[in-house]
Amino acid sequence: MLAEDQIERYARHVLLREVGGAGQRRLLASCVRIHGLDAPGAWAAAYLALAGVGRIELDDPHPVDDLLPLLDPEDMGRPRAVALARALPAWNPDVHAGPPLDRAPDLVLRRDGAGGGGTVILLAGGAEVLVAGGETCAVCRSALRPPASDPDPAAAVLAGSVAASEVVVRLLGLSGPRLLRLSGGRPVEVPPCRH
Amino acid sequence: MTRIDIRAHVCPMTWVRVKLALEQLAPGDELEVLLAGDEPMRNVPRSAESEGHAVTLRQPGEGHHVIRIRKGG
Repeated sequence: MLAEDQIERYARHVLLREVGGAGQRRLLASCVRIHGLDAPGAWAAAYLALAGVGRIELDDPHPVDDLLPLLDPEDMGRPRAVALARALPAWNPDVHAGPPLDRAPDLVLRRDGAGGGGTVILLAGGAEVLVAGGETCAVCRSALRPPASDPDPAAAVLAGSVAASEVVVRLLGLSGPRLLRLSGGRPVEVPPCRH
Repeated sequence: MTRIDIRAHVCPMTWVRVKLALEQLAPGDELEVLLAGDEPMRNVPRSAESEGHAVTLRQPGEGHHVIRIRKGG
């Protein structure tokens, strides 16, 4: 059962036919591990926290060099994973955020092109965004190269939200692995490969 | 029969709470809902039917209304 504050917090999710209280409880019981917490990864973490994913594991030793609205000025220079682990529960008190544990997560979100079963890959550079299931075949994935440039700020937010949506859809069992390319700001599903 | 009183709530929290109560029931079980106001009396039965449940009673009253919903599935 959802607690009283959770009913208020997640009312809009519960209303969705595909989610309901059962789906929200499933998200609260889920664990997602995120490798890579530059702007797109950090925004994905934020949207997953707002969705009510109960445990978010954060992996990125690089220092904060860009103060997103998520973070405080004191976070500048702190390891990204440490800064976000403090910030995410402030956005949603149901979320436990911290370093990866030994137990395997339900899903992994990666900012590099590496992948495998149970992985969602997020690539973003300039205005280009790709979200792919790690199970995408080797030939298709060889075409997924991390973009040369850093994503622009608007693309980073959009990339993070699309990646978070894809993770939520996978956690709820509503979709299998697929490849999404943002075209004109809207995610377009690339047809399944025939390789 | 399970009963829920949603007179204190406004839409869409009315349907949110009824939906959560229905999730706890088995298909075929009935839920009796005490509600107040025209908007919930319109919205809750419509939402229930759109999600595959059957409204088996609609009893408008003076200060409050009663409906019964049979869980689908």
